[in-house]
Amino acid sequence: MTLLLTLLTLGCAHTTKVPTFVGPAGTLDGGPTPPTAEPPPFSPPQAQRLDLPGGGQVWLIERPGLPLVSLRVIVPGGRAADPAASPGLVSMADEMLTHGAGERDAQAFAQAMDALALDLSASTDDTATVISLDTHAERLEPALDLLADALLRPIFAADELDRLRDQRKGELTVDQDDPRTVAGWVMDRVYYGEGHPLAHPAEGTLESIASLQADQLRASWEARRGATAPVFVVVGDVTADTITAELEARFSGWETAGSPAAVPPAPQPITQGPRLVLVDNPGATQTRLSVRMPAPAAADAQVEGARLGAIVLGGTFTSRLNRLLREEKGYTYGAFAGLQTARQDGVVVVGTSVQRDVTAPALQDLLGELRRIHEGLTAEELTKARGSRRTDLVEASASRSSLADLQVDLVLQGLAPDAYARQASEEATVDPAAALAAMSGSTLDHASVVVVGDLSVITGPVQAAVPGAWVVTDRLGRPLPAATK
Amino acid sequence: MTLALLALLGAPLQAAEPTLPFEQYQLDNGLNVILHVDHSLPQVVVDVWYGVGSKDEVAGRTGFAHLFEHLMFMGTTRLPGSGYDDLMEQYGGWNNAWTAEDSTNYYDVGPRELLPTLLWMEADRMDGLARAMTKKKLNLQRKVVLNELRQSILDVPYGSTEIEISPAMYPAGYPYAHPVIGSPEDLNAATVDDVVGFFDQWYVPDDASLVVAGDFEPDQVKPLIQRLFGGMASVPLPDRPAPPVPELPARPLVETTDQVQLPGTMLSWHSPAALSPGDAAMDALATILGEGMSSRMQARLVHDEGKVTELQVYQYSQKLSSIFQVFAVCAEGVQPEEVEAEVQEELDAIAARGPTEDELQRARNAIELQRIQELEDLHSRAETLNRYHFLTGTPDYLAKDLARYTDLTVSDVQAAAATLTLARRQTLRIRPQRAAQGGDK
Repeated sequence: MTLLLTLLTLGCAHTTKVPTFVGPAGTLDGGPTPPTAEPPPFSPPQAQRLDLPGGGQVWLIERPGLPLVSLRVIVPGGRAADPAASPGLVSMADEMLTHGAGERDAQAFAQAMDALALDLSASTDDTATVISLDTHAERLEPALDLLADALLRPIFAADELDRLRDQRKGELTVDQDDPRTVAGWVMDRVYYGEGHPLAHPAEGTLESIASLQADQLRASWEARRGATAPVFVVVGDVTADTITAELEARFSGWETAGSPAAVPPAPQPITQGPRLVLVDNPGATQTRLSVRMPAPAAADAQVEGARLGAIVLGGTFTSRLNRLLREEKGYTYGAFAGLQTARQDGVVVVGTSVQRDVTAPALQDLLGELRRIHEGLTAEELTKARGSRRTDLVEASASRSSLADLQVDLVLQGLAPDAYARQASEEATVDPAAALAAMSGSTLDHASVVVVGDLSVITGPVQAAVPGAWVVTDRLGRPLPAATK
Repeated sequence: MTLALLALLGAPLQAAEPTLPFEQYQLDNGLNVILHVDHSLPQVVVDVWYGVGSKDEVAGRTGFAHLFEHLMFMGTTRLPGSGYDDLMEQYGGWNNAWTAEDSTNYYDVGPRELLPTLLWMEADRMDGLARAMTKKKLNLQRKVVLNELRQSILDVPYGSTEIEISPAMYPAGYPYAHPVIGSPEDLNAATVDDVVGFFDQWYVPDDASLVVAGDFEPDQVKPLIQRLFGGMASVPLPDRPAPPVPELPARPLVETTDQVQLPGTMLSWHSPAALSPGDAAMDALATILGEGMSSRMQARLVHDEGKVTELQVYQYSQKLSSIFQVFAVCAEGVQPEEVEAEVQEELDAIAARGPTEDELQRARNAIELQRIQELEDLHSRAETLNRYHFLTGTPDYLAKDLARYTDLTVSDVQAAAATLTLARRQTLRIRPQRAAQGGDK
């Protein structure tokens, strides 16, 4: 609990000046022992795609060695499928899947999962629900029985919904006190714009979850599940023959009708930005600074350039943002930036928490780096970004669950199983000019900036440091009367 | 318990026992070396464990072990400035570190081709970090650590518990009586001389254990380790006599406030030290009480009664003595006292009647699965080898560690619960500073 982790996995703009050494190579005085060779390109193991006779598809990577199996089921929809009047409906329906199914009520289902030491849960992504199952390989069959109950025979009991609603109400209340969570809620509304399918919190709000009814949840789940045949991702100690037979035995009754959920539109481009937003967090000793800028979508030809550019900006400890804001100025514990891609669009997300009293200069410096990246990047910076990306993928290939999640990312983005190999070869060809071109749309003119902090202290300095049309919103991003601050 | 559920529980698994192979030796200067070869992915991990943590800090310098950890990345005379991170990242490597009460751990991850560089860099700073220390570096990292305090503790809901719990549990002067992060006053008082003294005393081969894990050939790496680390002098460590294990909390009841809307409570008891008799029973007890929605406290407090929004039960295992903790965020309108009474009822029930065999088997299943999952990640394996060595004197402990759980009986868990009495309990209540917002309506 009190273990303190230093945040060193963050992003460098300069190459190292290594002093001249006098000792023999391979000794301390001989200087840093150089790498033995350039690491070859790496891409994670590629899934084989199998069709289930009764419909549906399996992305499989066989990984013996340890008796573990990780399985994911992807059902399109996600929070984008929330009705405008009912934010949180989809995620509440998803959570109910494991709170009573088949012949078991919620408590009996929980007992069955715990008896098997199953990690079985549903998470609501932007455009899909991902049901995750991580199990000991020797308990795979009873685990799949429970999974099938959850997906095909959920109960959606009204009294269980009431319990979950009360629980979520408490969670949302705690979340209101977390500046990072609040910044995310506000950013979604400000960046996507009111009315966009992704402009609300996946978890919903205290108001919206109050009126949800069990039959709404059932209808939402059945419509989403029935729209398409299932896609299973399986990684672990199981063979193709076994897993296809086991899935076919349980899911051949997965009937499909209707049409798949539509991919949400890309947001209306922000022009004459950035949109500037202040959110009050009274008494906070730090200020949360967040920026979101448009970027290429997952299948865009320039996406690898944008990915590497974002790493240069803030993807490693010696990246430009972390070097400036933490290591030079001491304003923060860490600053990051990264590329997030979807089918419909991509975004560069930037975030840091800074000491309250330096909010204004820290924001100026942060925005300054976001402008400076358009002046150019160096080949050395790109080399470092490629190395970082390679190491991330090697590490993510170690565990069955993280390897399964890598495959889920491909499915969600509409990419083929060989996408990581293709990305690696494309990354190798990105030069500074290509990276710069790929980032050309990621400018402050098209950005949203959200500042969450103690407005009684920071408002004046922030508005003086960054002139513009600042808007004060509540914790969900809804504008407040200007007179309040 | 239904028949169907009994069928699910089944017999204990017959799968082959997981293993964690290694080779261990010691350099003449006392540096412990552990090699763990795995060619399955083209990566390596270098993990250096120093047996110094916040427990070794002197009065007026709380937080220093952690501040020092930050300074380890600030450059040496041979690789100055930000060279440590620059050079590592130039070839696709990255690093991190953590500081706890007992120890400080540094690790580097990267492609296999980078291993000689990583070893040079760890040896370089073990040999000469302090010679390049300046007040400027110290001041910069002091600011970073104070930002870490704000970001990771002060501005996190219920984060104040991390500050309050140590002095509430331990008497003044006990090695664990202050939080790892320390106090701002002590952090601001630290000097360059403190840095040099701390380095000379604790960052020595005798206090360190080096794990090299991953895709490498031992025959090539051993001579390099000898050349890079073997020339450092052995420095005997000061005697650190183990203090008596505390029985009662120093301050049985503490009330504090935080920038939250819902009250919370943290209940803590002194418990057996890491890997000592009774430690595994506490792990199993925590699982039976709080892991999974069918666990006793989750089922009652979260699911059935809805009195708790968030519940965590765990055994925080440490070298000298551990803490068993229950943390709960109360639902709206529920007071901490009510939750505390029900938690104590559940503990008393297990103390009186023990858990069922099924509950114990569920706990074994969950803990076993977690241990197997931890073996997937190379860094996790490297750290596990170092942790075993630090706590027991040998990295060869996985089988014994797992056997602690397979050998557990319901009587063991019952006996563990019997120590978690009201009389031995520390109660830390968190009252809201903020009025309920209902702010999204």
